[in-house]
Amino acid sequence: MRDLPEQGWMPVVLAGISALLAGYVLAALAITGMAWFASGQLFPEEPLRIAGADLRAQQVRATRDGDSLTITGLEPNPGRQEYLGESGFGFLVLGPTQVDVSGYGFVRCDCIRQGTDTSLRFFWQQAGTDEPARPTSIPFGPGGAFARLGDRPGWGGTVFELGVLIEGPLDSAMTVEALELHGDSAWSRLRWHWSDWWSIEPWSLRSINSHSLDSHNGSLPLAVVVFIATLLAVGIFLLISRRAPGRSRLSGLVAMVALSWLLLDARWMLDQAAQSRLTWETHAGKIAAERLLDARYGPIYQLARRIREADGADGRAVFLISDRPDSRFLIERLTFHLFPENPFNLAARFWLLRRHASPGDLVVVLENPAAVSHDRENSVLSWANRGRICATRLMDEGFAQVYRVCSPHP
Amino acid sequence: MNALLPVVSIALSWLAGALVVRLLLPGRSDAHLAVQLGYGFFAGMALTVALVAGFRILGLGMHWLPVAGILVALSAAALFQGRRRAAGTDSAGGLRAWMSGAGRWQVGLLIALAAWVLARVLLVGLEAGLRPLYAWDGWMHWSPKAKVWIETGQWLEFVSRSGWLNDASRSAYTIRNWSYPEFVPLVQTWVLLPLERWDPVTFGYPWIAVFVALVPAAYGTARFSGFSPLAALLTAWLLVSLPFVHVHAALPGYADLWLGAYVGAAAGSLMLAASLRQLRWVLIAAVFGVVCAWIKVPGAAWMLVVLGGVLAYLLPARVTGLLVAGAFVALAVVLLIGVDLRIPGAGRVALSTAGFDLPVIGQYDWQFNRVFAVILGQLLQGGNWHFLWPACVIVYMIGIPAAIRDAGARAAWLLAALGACFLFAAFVLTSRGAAIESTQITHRAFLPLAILAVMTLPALVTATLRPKGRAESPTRNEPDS
Repeated sequence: MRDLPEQGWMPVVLAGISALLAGYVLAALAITGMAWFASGQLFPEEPLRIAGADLRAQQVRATRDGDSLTITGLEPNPGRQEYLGESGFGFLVLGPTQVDVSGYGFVRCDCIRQGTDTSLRFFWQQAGTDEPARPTSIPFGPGGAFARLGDRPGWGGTVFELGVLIEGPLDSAMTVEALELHGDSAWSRLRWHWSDWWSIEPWSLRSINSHSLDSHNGSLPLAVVVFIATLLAVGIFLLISRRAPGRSRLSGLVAMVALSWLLLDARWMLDQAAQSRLTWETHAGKIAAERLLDARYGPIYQLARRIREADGADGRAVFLISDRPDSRFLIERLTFHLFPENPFNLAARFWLLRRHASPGDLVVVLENPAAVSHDRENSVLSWANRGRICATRLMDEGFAQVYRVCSPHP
Repeated sequence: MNALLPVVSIALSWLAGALVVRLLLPGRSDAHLAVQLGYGFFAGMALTVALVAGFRILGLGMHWLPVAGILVALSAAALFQGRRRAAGTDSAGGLRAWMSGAGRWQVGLLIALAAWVLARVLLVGLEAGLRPLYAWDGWMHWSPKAKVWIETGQWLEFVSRSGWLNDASRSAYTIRNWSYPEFVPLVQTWVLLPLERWDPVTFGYPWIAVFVALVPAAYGTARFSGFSPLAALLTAWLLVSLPFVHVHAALPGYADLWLGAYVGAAAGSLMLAASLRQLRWVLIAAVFGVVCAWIKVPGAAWMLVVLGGVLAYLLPARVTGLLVAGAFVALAVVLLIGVDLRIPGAGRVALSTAGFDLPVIGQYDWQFNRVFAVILGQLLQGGNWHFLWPACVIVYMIGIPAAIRDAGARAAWLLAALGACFLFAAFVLTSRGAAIESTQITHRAFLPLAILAVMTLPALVTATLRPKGRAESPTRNEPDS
């Protein structure tokens, strides 16, 4: 491939620019037309943007048995959650879930169950921050729950848990017709695309698997739109540049593809520049330990440091225990920070056999698993009737307790 | 000052590799320098990791100085030998010649594009150079070994969970995937050895280096494939502008970028072999292919892909076609008959219509998964690849006639096709396909194919544009100025 020749390239460049513009205009018209065809209206009165997970027509059946309430999600996310006591928090999407709600202005829940004792409740975290999730509770009215959220300070970010809180007496069944997060005004699909395509997305824990810039909601992603526009432009260009020399046509073609690619890349660079600024503000000028403490799992790093300082384990084992499936991430991070101690993740085995625990070993119990209890007076750590070992409490960090194995075992 | 020591480690490996590659491809034009720099990094890092692994296997302790000394000695020898050889080689300075003949706007474009690439590298460097270990698999698989080795100063073993529980001495460690290949942990160990402690930020410097090295590697390959400097820089920009490549360099810790880069380097070496008519580059491609199996478990399959490409390059088109057809028939026969062997030292090799169990790869059942739409959707959504995939499909389809008549284009085409077939087989035909529903593996699985596609694209394009009557050049193909 050679570059454009010195002479006679101007008409080809002009043809390329014209074709590119025409391609983009045609693509925009085509997409708008498709949106019109699909929704029957160019600028829909009702915004139809549904956040991340598809929450429409989510059916949840709740069955009461004594003091417990079982809420079963039917379609499209089957699942089951059990709640004890007089109030329950039922996840409509099997939770905890994460739904990106940036740009959504109001939330609505249509439920057959009515009454002021029921509320729509969720935890949400402001975009781009590591601040703790904020709880928001919206009481049910006659037709369900509805709230305008766009004017709440800091609104927009990630919803972690979304569900219905039933605080009063429980009914035998409840069906949720719809639970939707909506945009706060009637924008066209193109307008939504525009805001989506150019939104800045900071690193998330899923970035390494799929860094997602457009939320698209069933419509065409920007890369596809640009590709279609480029294909149209190439077609137009090849038509109008028939008389141009082959090499010039080729150069024009390459330039059009490169320009379209540059458009996408510019958005990405913009996004990354914002991310780098955020990273700079968070981490610059700090030593490694400070950066770890400021990171999302800072408390885990702090715990590991304290264990290592207090341990003096000298090659002794550190057993890590939790019975919550979602504790895996905490345990793996704690395991890593504990190296070069000798940690062992007991999550899969759950209980510790006496023959594996030697005096001096440590046991870290994370997030208060119900099945593990400690008898301080007798220095006994018990696993729900499955095993008992001699252990004294070394430290209590709230979300984690650390024990040192003693002898003899009971 | 200490923070610079890991940079010294990387620089030593890179320098040794670059000087060795310079021996294989002497010259001082932009294309030569780019190949020396780009491929030099991958050669140097593979050589270094082999040395460090040698120390580990031979129980020679964990020392930075001896390895550094070997690299310095190698660099000095290669430099001396290279000078003697360079006396008789050209120094055409292709870029300079091109710039003197090109229009101002072309030179301006070249500089602007170079600045754009530089800005991207700076962004990656800033992110990876500030943020402590963030990537999940880094915590889980790729960094624990390096951390233990560095902090204890001993080559301690990692064993299975049951092995750990049965070892009362507690002399070994355990992690979930204790048996994963050790190339990436060894890279981290080498880089952090002079610090003598684990560092959650500087461990990621090699990932930045991989990202940087991809630029000259892609540029040099494209130049030798017949691209002008501007077009070659466009190719390099195309590669590093892929958002998913950017993410894996900016959030270091995963092995996928390493695997992708070595697959790309192997494919690029084969393209260089085609344009330079030098068998030594075929050998280098094969070596880089073998390194792939040392990086990640799926690397074993990518190694086979690379070796397939090597065969396709070495053999005439008809023989390649017969071999491919024969391989499919043989596979079908083996599947129907069923094979179940136990190879000493390697493990079980079983293949039947129910599934397969292979050393390194693991055990999977055959299972047809309707995941085309899911894969397609994931590859097009989210802005991870811009529009690389549809563009590649078009270019590779147009390139079929060229692949039939040109050995380099054929190797390019077959490499991409074999890579795509491997991914197809893994996700559509095996129980592994269930994992594709989440976005956890799709993009990472396609990363090597993306880098391979960009590295081979110039050879395919050049062969496609070459007039049909004109055979590929029988002589060594130096980049045009």
